[in-house]
Amino acid sequence: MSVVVCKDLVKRFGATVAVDHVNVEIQDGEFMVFVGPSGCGKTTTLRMIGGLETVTSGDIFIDGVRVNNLAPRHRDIAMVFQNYALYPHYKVFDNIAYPLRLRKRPKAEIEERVNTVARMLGVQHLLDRWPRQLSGGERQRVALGRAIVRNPKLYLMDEPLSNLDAKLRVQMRREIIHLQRNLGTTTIYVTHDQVEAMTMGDRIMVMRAGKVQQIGAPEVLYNHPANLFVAQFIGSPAMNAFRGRLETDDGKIVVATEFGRFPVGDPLVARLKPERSATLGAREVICGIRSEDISLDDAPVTPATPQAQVDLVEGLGADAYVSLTIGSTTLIARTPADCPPAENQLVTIHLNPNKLHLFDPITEETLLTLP
Amino acid sequence: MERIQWFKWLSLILYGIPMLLVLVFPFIVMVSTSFKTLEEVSQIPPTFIPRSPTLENYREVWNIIPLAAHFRNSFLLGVGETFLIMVLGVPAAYALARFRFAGRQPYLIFLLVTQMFPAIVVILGVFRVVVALGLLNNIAVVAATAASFSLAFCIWLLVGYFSAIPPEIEEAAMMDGDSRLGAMIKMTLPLSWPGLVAVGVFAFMDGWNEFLFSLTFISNDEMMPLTVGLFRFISRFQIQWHHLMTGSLLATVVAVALFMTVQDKLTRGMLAISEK
Repeated sequence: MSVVVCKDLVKRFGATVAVDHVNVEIQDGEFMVFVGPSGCGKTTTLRMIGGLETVTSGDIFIDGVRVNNLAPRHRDIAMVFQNYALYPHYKVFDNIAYPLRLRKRPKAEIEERVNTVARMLGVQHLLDRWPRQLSGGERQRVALGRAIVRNPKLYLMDEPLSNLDAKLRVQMRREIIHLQRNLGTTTIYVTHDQVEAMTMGDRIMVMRAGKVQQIGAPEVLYNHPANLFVAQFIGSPAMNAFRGRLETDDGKIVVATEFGRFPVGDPLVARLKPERSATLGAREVICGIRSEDISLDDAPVTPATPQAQVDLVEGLGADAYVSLTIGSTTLIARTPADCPPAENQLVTIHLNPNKLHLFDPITEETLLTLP
Repeated sequence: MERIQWFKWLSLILYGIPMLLVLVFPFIVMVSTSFKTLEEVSQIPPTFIPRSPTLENYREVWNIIPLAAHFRNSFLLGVGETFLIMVLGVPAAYALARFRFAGRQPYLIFLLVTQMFPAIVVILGVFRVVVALGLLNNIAVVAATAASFSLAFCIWLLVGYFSAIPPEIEEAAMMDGDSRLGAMIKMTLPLSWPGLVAVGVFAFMDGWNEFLFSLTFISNDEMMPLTVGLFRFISRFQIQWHHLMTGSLLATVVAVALFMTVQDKLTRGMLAISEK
């Protein structure tokens, strides 16, 4: 079991800074997810922890030991790769047995442990096959088996599900979660899929252009994003965002936009950062709201409940996503699928005043204190 | 479809068969001459099928020149050059394929540039060095010199093969507990064996056919390889065609036998290069 600490981690490839002062601490037994768009530095960070990339500056500690200069084989870490990286010239049994053979374990022990792991992953009937004879899901199970057979102190997983079809991905996601919970081993999981991040991680580290945007539990990132990027990266569909200005109406704070004036709930006003609240009044903001926090009806139009036109309705079983145009802004609202509005219909929109998110229009940082 | 078949047959008859005859013709003459006497060789018009075929040439050629020693020396040259190229070229190619270091790209270009200089351009300088070191009449020196000229090409070939092996396989081996060297030996080399065989055969044939350095550095009959030994049948006043062709045919048989043994692997290696 291990604690992994990255302190001011930097990685440069020539003039390009791939990882820019990453600081993160991963707790013992935790399932930590690194998520972000392609090229954000998440895989490079993972590879530095594994020892497959050198560190330009900064430190990596595993269980209190600085491992910057330790070869991968001395770190007691197992890794699952995106394209499985099975040894094509070894049969499945030998693939799983390889880490044990390197450690010169007795033949009987190897036999027993490989069979145990194969049974656990449901691949015992495949032990005599070559990797090329396996399906994608089977290869992924074998890759997992090779990782877990030697009980390392840390698992690294680099987008292991991205090459699988959607249905298999969902199934394997559950299997990986169960496996990690049963084994209790610290795991760092890299993905570009925010759904995987939200469903699998105990905590998530969102990265962008080499920098850490926010670290926290999935619900914290979802409900209290630190900046506009996190707000729009986490959650599907992406958070709606539009420009406005904070003004006061009869002593109440409102967000004034080209298409309406939306009150800001008192709990949110209380959370406004002190340095921001001092400059309230004609302050430009970017206002965000999630699709489930917009409700639609045919109530009378007011400045706080303006009218929008329905562009498109996308049914997804239990819910429908309604694309709305209001002024020059497009919003997406989520409604129950049993009575969605019709396309081109005019509807009145209600924004939940306690679910607004306010961001600085220049830095895009949240104006609200985080929990 | 019929038109295509017709065209294929026409191409074969007008181009394929004549080209085949042109390519095979010297070999046919070599075989034919090896069974002729010197008098019949000199006849005009020449004969393709010997009038009085004889096996005497095959007996005489072993006595006139130390042919057995020449075979041994050619074999040593082939094996020596293969060994040197594998030992030096494989790690160099692996480093170029896997590591990014300052000067990597200029070095790759430098390897190419060295191929532009034929050995004859530098032979005098190399000869003086060999003489100064007192290393004339030394097969190992010939093998090393020949290898040094072929090494660049072999490294280029091997870089292509190694680059085609996904680096994740070695990385997986290192994460599983192997060293970089162990991962290279257990993963990269077995997976790139068609390339290794192709390079090995090339290196052996280069050593087997080596002529220039052997001619320059070796004057002792017993140390000469086949290429130089057979050359002695060409004198100022006469060419012993019947013995020369006999010796050449014997030398060719060995090369052909080797090629037949590894042909399948070689073909797969060449296909692998073309796919990359």
